[in-house]
Amino acid sequence: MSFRKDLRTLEVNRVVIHIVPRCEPNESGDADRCTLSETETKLDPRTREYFLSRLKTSLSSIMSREVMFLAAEHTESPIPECVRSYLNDPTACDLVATSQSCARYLYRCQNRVNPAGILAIAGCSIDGLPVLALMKLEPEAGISYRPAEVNGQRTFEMRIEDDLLLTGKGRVFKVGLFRLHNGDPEGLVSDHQMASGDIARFYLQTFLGAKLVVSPDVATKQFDEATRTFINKEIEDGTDRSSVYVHLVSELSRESTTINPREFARSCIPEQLRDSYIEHLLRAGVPEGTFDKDLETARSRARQLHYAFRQGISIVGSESAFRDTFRVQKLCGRTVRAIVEDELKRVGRR
Amino acid sequence: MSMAAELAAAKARWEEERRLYADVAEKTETTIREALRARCILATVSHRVKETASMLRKLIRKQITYDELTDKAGVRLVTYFVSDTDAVRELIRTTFEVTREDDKRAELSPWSLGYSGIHYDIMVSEGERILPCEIQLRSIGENAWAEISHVLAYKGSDKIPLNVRRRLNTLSALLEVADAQFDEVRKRVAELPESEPLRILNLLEEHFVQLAASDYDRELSMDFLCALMPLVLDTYGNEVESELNAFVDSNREALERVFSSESTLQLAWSPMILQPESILVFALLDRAPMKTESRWPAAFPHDLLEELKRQWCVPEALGM
Repeated sequence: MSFRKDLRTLEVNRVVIHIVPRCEPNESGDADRCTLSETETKLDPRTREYFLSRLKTSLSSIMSREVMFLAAEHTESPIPECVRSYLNDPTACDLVATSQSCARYLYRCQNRVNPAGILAIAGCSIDGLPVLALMKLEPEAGISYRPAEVNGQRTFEMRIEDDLLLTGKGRVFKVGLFRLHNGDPEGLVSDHQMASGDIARFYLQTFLGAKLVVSPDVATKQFDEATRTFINKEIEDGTDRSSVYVHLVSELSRESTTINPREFARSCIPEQLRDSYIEHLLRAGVPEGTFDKDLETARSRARQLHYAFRQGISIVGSESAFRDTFRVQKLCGRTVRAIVEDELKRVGRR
Repeated sequence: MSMAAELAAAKARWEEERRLYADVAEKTETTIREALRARCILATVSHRVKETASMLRKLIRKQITYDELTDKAGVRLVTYFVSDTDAVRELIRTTFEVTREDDKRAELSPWSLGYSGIHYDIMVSEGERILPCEIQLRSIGENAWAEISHVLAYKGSDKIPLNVRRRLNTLSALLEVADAQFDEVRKRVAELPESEPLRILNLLEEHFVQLAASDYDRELSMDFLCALMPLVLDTYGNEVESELNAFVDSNREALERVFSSESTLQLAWSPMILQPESILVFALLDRAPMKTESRWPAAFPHDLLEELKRQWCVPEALGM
């Protein structure tokens, strides 16, 4: 089962939180400015469940990414070692001390652009096996109200609370969740502050010392190849084939920096084939959620469209040429009529 | 001790112990409700403790002592279908310490008037004491007979004029026939092709009561299942039951977690969360999430599906 689906049995067992301030001008990265907890935060059942539901919702979203740790020589982050140490033996690992090192490192690797926040480290479990969550939260402001009486008349007092965390619709947090899979840590990371669905580089690479499991160029190539295979093997109707193919090329050519396979399926794949398409992508190794598109790979793969017919006729051209001049109409059975409306430039050998 | 003194002593004890017996009756009702729910048996359950005057009258009428009176606390259980009686009898015998079972149906001769249920005397622990409680088990027809005959103050057949007796006999026969017909209709309805939603609901209820300690709106369940049937049949064909059973078996822990979590309970306002059909939606989301989304019944807001997706960690939920 996928990491996302395993979140169904996620439990939050312990939490330690630290305050990590914003880096001041000319400040040398003195981590003593952090306000560090010296013991775990007590969780009542409601807080625990609230925390849990926010973790689950965030990480099971299509915006989360599968990540792995960088090799030690490629990162200065102590996080990979801290996570490994906790996952290998949660009882032997001092969660408070470990989380303090994480907070100090977060402070050191942030710059003045990064706002102050809370670092919450949560010892969790899935089916009894250890899991570690690292959340960077930024307090939000909100207004609380309580009943009051003025001149004997009932009213409500309102007060601004500026230390709220994980508010109902709040997106002000980044989270990484790690577990061991076949002896190696695997992670899910989500960043709700990036509107595009990207993960902030500072959080993923600099702080967590991690990278995406499937790099953007590989994911883009896999998506393109798997979708083409699906079109040719699973879509029988010629006009549907042509339509999905044009949509694929269009998806690869457009300027957006991410691809959401489910959104693509929803808008471009015939309804009865959408679920099998998603399964096909997963089998082909395409990431389950949204992934970063490698624009160079995408453009090179979308450069030319190629239609090959049973009797040996092929039509090749650019996406714009096809868009302007080419149409496919359905005839009986699997036969289609392909129409090119253009000036015949020349004839002869290829 | 004189009768008057005995009654005064009984009254004093009753005033002292009435609260205890009320707790016993309430506890017994709760236990029965939970056991019925676990077995998916439809019934109404209620409890009562005797009023002081009623208790004293019974001591006088029956010439018994306070301690010999076994129905100071009582629970009435009325089954919708008489064919559930055997299952309920088994439930009572296995759930409680039964000291007496009085099957009044068996006592009736073919020529006697009446249509009666079964009475049980049970013993229930309450604190350090073990106290008696009576359970009356009736079908809907038997309950109707008991209630009406009580109002008519009919207490036997000997002194009733023949024409009235004939009418009473007809009535009791009609109620017995009605009970049997309700059963028959239930069986026939379940066999109708249009009853597929009902069959699925019965199956979902069996699982739901094991997974969640929550009441639910059966009418909403039926409305929803009827609307969802095209998607269900398209996804599972004729294998709905086996597929659902397999889904629950392989996801039991995750389902228990969803239905028991505080976050789910906080979402109890959301009409779909604590309903048996949410199990079916979870199964569909695992099998065909995109088809479930595109064929979600128009009469049910899409937000409900989004909420279920979030609860079931389906990688579709867009953010928070």
